[in-house]
Amino acid sequence: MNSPKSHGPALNVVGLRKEFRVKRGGRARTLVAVDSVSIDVHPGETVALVGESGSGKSTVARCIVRLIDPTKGAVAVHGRDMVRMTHRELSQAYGDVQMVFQDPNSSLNPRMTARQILTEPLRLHTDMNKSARNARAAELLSMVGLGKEHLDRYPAELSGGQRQRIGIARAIAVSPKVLLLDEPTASLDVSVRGQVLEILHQLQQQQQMAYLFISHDLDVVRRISDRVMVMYLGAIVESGSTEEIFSHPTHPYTKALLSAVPQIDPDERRERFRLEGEIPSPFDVGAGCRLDNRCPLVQPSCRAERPVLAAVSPTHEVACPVVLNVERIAQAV
Amino acid sequence: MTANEPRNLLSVRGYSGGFKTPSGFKNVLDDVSFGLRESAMTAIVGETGSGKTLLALSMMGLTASTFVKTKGTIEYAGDDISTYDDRAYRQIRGGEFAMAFQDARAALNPVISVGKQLIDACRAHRRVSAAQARDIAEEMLRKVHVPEPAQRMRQFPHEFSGGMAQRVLLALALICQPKLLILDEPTTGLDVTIQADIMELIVDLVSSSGMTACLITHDLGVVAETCDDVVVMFRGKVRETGPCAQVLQHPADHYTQQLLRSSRFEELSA
Repeated sequence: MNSPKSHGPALNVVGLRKEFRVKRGGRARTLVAVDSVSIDVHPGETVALVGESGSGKSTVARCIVRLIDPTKGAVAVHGRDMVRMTHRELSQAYGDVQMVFQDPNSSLNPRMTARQILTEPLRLHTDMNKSARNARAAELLSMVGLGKEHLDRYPAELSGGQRQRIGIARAIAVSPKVLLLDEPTASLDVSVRGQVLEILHQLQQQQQMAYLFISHDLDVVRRISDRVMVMYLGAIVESGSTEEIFSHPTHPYTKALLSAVPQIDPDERRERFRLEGEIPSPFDVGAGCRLDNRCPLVQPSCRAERPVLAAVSPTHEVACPVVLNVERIAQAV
Repeated sequence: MTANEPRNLLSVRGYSGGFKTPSGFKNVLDDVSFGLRESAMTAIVGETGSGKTLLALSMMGLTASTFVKTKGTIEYAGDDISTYDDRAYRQIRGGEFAMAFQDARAALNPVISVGKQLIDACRAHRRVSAAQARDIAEEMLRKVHVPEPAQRMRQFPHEFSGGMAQRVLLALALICQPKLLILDEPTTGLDVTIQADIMELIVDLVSSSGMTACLITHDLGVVAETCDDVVVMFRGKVRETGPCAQVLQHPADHYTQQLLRSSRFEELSA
């Protein structure tokens, strides 16, 4: 764990909102995929964004790098506002923020060799000459544990783990300050997953990069992040230090999520905290809490007003007044 | 349990085989031996390419025509079923052996309603009228906790979520009351809360019916929470077999130890 630097956060997201217009049954409706999401990530820090499919976590990442444009909110990378940038400014900003995608099979160009994949960002973002770029490409490969012999291979000639390492090497080629990692280990076997996580850790130690780590794999998140934010249907429902979230999960959704993770060691097992049914369609979210129809602790007041994040401790926030009251009573006793 | 030693429903002995390729014969399964204890749930675990799915397909008699068995037997009810031809296999497959596949929505026929798929499977192996089959199908959907089964029967696979489709696939596998249920990565690609619900359902169904089950997975957490026995595979070989509690807490084999270390993130420095 690293203490935040005095310069402030490397990545600062405030009140991010993304709406999609969707035609459904002949008429256009608005789907709110991300609703008032705020995130700070400091240099050298790893913040995990966790949630199940459809929670909007990938949409957050895509809005940050403007692969899609956010409807509302501010995104600053290293103090520079990303949202109002022109395309020309944006392509320069990609020297500071890079992304590693989930599926290395579809995020690497099959017709480019590892050398071409790694030298392209250097050509765009640095004034290195060709031999310097080639030397840097070889250096990047060794940083991710691959050798010079892999330079002239095509993605099809590499294994899944090797491809994901090329994806990481490409993202760090220009020494970005912020790295967005969208499920980087989801498609990998456990033995390879360990290698990739170790490489990410070493790189962060060396370069003090800020990581936003998007994942549904809670075991991985527990091992590598400093802070955790839990998303459900487009909103953050709980956020806190990794220690607090895992030892003292407070929001009913976080409890349900953590207690569902299968554990090898009997001592680690938690009693299941159950929610009703499955995640609803985002069109069917009412005015109150997004979890109202599934939560065993639901109160009439939950359906009236949408809960906002409130502090449980100085480093732990939860968007559930019901559990918050219980916490306050427990703390007072 | 001396008098009533649980016997094996199915035994694989020295099973080897591989594929004919243009560049020669490629061996994939190498001298595989293990048994599936009657009424127990056995896991076959291994990483990508370890041969675990091929082994399941061998038990079901569903290997591709390019697969060649070179050695060994698969014994079931006193017979070596690995010598069966398609006709003979059809007598047991679906009726006595059933399999649920990994990607449930892809495993269901997209242009036939879910109800009709269930009814067809039921009538292929059981002598029942169409009306009886419909009732059985609806009852089966209720058993796997699909809400509003009568309405859901009229729907098509694309109208089901991943978790609901996996429930339908389970209903389809169980509708003929099989003796052996093979589950190939039934929860891969599902969210953890849905995975936990589906695994709970599988354990309930298996233990209440006395069925024998074989779960193919790469997730040791799932194995530890649900299975009785485990078979660890690596590059086509069985590395270790035994009761889950013993193998996962006191692994004897070097590869099993390494797999457990990786699963527990023990090789990470931070």
